[in-house]
Amino acid sequence: MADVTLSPEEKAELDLDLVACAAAEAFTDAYYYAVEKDRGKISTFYCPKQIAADSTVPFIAWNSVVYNDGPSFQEYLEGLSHTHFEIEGLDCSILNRKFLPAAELKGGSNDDAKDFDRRMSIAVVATGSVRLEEPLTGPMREFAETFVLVPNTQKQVPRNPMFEKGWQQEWLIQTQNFRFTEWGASEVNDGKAGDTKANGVKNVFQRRNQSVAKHFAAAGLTIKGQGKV
Amino acid sequence: MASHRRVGGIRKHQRRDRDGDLVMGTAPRVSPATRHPPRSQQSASHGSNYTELRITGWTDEKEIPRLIQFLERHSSRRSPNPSKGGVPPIMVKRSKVVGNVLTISVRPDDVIAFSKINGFSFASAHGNQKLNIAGTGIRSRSPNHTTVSAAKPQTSETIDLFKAFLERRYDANLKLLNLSSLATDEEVAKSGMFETESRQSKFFPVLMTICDRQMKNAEAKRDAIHSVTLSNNGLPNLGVVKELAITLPEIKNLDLSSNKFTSTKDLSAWKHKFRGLEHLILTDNPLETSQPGWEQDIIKWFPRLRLLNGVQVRTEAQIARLDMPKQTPPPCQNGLWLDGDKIAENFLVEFFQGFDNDRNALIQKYYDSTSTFTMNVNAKARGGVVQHNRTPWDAYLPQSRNLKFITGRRSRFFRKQRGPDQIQTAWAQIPPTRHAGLDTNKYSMDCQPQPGLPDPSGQYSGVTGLMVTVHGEYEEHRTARGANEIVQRAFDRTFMLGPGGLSGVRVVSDMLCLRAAGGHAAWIPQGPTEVPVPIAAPAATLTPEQEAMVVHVCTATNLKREVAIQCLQAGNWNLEAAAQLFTAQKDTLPPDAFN
Repeated sequence: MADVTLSPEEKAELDLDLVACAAAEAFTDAYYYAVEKDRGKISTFYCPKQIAADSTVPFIAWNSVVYNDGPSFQEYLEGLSHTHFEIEGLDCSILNRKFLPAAELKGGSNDDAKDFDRRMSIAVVATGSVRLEEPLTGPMREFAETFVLVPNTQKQVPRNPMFEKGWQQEWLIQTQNFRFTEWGASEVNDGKAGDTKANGVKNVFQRRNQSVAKHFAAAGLTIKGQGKV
Repeated sequence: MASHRRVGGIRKHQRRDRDGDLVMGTAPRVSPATRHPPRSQQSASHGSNYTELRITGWTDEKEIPRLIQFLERHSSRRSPNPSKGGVPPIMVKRSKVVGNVLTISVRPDDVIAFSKINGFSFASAHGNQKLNIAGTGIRSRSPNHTTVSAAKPQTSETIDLFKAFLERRYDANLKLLNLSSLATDEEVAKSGMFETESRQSKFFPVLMTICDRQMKNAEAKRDAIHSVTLSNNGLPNLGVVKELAITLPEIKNLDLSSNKFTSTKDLSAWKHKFRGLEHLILTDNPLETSQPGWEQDIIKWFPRLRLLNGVQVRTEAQIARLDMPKQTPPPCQNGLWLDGDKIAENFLVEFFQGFDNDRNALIQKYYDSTSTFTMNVNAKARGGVVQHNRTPWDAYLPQSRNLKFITGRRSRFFRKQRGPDQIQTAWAQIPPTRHAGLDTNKYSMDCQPQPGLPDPSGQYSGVTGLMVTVHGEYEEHRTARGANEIVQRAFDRTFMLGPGGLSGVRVVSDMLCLRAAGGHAAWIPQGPTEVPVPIAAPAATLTPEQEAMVVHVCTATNLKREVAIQCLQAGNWNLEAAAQLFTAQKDTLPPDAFN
């Protein structure tokens, strides 16, 4: 496949993908380092708070708790014990190459059909293991995390950035979703998490067809009237 | 008598070490004195740039050649310009004897070598003789070497001086040790303790040692001294005063103003020291202008620093958090599902059925020419449970775009699928799958708004869609390498759903991560089960009729008892009103309101 000659569009695609991949690598290196060693810097990874009618960014969903700005999330992380993240799987995808309007790009050509390498939003997915509580001996869980990165309008980024000097917050986190996907072996064995019976909590699909009327009827109640007491 | 013998013993030892060969008489070299015949007399007229050194302590003039040989040998070993292998350099250039003083001329560079052998013992025929070398550049041997008896009162005098100084500089009310402007202190100047540079460098460590002795233990120190000021001492770095961090590690306030620190590097000796420091003053130091952003380093180094130059850098709440026990992230809590219009819900139901049964139809419905699909295999999952299903990933690997392993730029690019045709080809490579029903506990699903997705109509630069992340497992019918088995695979899949396409919903991006299956225990919610709203009425106050209604509502709606009571109270204990309330609010109730 490697000898296939690329059309100009494909070539442009490839160059764009190259930037996105480099960004994904530089970003995850810097971010997980900061979560482990330099939590005071976490808030600088997030875009400024912006409240819109249909959504508020940054939208940080971390283990199903939602934070709506960098500083409050940083505060949460600062209260956590030791964490060591090891990325095992990494991938990225360009979401919207025109995320940043051409006019808002610092040092851009102001042409709507250009400068995608600095205007695009990028989705990054990382999976891996995370060591908690104690280095080397703490429980090790698996995690999966998704980030959407958007250009940092405060930075003037060179063309086709390759992040040779590391991550300089060229993109900022707009939305994020973190989940543990597997318990550490020790946690499962002591029965803390091995209990497969949930605490009666069901997901949205399990409640899908529970219409009230049906349940009321099943219990011998009618919606109209007093019902049998 | 006894002391004499002891001293003699030491000298003997020295002699054996340093000039054993002298006794053996093995000196092969021509003595410098013969190499330079009595030129000494004419030396003065040359007006050379040699340095003259005066050597005393010897007695017999006949032994001068041996003495010079002795000096020559010991100094050349300590020369700053050692010879490389061959003949050692000639150290004693000229010599002359006047009375009992031997004067030698040496190169100024070599003075240091002679300084080092000052006080050595020369083995003369009349016993060991201690040589004394004097001249410019020769450090005198410390006086206590010769005047042991006189030293004691002097030392205690010095200690008293330091004690008095500490007393004078300590303010018991403020618990402040004021060490500012040390150089201009009158008493210190009078004592001469600050006269030379070497004395200055010793002053502070001695002061700290004495301060240490004055107090019984760490607790006493902590109680007695809260603050230290070192302002106005012209300090270019912490070299001279760094002992403060050892003697008084628990001070709360420190004033370093009006010194000559030019960068935070000059302060790095106290990095991560003074763990309890709350207030630091660094005003009037060059670093304020020469290193913009210096505050960042300082704030990082002192975790409990509240005030820096009088400006608050940490709140009390932040400090309080430091003392709180660090927590481990709690286990899985309830799913996050912000999907008011059930877009993601309907999509997922259809997607997993379609992926198991008719992938092409799914692509036609939800994927368009700009949709992307990527897949990555994480074959090395280290965390998690012990027994993973380690079935090989053969059928998947040619497509895996795990950026941790696939590093070629073209390989990465060709593993990214764009548009229905490419995605169809890619999906055809994935073995047949069977996903469990979504209404089981085998998934963890989150759905949250995702602004800024591309608008297919081109009208806006970004539209808001949904980010859906699903973690779960599926069964795979594995036929690779002649196998015919059902294996379990775990996956994390992220969909970005935007408006557009035939069905009104299109997949902007679909990213699939695959892992070895290790069970689904992690996404069974373990979160707190109490309802956040306070319970209005305790059960005891219910009438029998009300009790029966509560039971009915509980069984009918699957609501928790407490929530059911609330619902009925809100409906004024009218079942119909309560039912209407429930219908109106059931979507906004937290998931843990249900049994």
